[in-house]
Amino acid sequence: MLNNAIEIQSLTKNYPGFSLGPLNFDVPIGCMVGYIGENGSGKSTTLKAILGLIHPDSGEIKIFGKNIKEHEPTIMNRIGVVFDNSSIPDEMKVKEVGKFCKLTFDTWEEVTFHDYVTRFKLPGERKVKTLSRGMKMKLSLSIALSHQAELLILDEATSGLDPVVRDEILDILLDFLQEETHTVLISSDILSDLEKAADYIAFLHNGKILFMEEKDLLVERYALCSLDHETIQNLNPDAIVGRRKHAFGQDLLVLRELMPTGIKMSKPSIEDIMVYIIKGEEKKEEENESIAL
Amino acid sequence: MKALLYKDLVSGKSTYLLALVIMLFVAFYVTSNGAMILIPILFVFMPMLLNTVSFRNESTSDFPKFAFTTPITREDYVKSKYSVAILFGIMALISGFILFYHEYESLNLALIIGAAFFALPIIISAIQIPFILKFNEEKGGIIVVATNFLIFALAHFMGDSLGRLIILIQKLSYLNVYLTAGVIFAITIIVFTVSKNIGVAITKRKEY
Repeated sequence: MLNNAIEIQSLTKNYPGFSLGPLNFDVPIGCMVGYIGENGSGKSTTLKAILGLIHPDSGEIKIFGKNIKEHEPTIMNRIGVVFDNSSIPDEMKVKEVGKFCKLTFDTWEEVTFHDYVTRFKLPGERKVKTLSRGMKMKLSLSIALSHQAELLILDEATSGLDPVVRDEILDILLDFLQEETHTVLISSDILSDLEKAADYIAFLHNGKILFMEEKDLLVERYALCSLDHETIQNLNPDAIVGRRKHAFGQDLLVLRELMPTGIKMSKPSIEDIMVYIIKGEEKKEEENESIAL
Repeated sequence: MKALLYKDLVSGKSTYLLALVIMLFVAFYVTSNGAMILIPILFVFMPMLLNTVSFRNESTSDFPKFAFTTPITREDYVKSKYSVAILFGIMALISGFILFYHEYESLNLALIIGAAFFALPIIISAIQIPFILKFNEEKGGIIVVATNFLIFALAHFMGDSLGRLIILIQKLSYLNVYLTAGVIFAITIIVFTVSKNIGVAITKRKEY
């Protein structure tokens, strides 16, 4: 039985000044995986590689157990894609986009599309170029959800949208996941969105996956605490993942299991984990560079 | 393929309408001035304009990025780019054939001229399209401008030497009209096939 919607093995892609990978991770069927990382960390590059829009230098990508290169484009009937920019022809009207998709997808459901267009209050007679960013996102999502897709891939689909629209989109994604064969891979800078909806978090930094873990375990594994310099001296250095100095001591992101008892700790948000880890990594890189010099 | 043609038709509606108005205007002008040769030449020229508009619309919205995340194949995408040229090639063939048959009452001459008019828009598009696919509409536009100059030069040359050209074609038509027309069609198909394959290879290699 197939367990993963996406399997990525040893994926690499090199550009001048940036290298992605080697990446190894799987997206389990029935889950929402939040793909996070700072700007330029390689999130969009990974998603484009999964979709066959760019050519990896090495590695293998399988979608539903099939090599994307060999099974494109029929496999695209099973994938719904939403990019940060819709890329739908500007001059087309909303209703014409529906007709275009009907001619494109073998599995197109006109009624479903019409229902989403009505639900999102998208005017059928309006040209795509006249739609707001939020409306374009909703149109892209309507398309992605109207051809019986089993896998949704969303690249920064919620960025730049107001909280109400973002919440609406997240509700739709959670509805989509009610079907146990449905899977979502979503990259986003708005980590609070992923905090609400994602089952797993994959964290990309400088083109490398730092971790991919269940969100709940991740939040359990790390903790935030604020300590004075003297207490920090007595801590196991391996327990400290990242730190932020202030006048009275330091705020720390720590590994809960390596901390002594009796220290007051709080649950971190995904954003806290990401920010502290990035700062910790940057510090390590600086230290390595100074040692090398 | 049908989806791409539909997309081109609806997203370029205003351009197609303008093209129709231009064609009607030219038709009116040439019938009242007796410069009927302009009709097939117009059909040769139109695909360049319409293809440029289609590529420009796509580049504005980054359409290939959307198209290739749907079941549209790279092959169908490239093939669709030649459909306008083939359509206008057929129109140029019919108009060229009728025009020269009516003018010179020679079936052989009309057939060869018709074949040549059919070949021209397809060959011109076959030169332009791979460049636009490779370098995008903006940079590839240089080759479009270059071929436009070629067309104008050709039209000018034809205007000056139409008599000599017709004599040459008539001589050819005495040799073997079907062979000559067949060679023109064969060259057109070969150029089209090579260009389409290059276009597909470019599109497959390109990143979006």
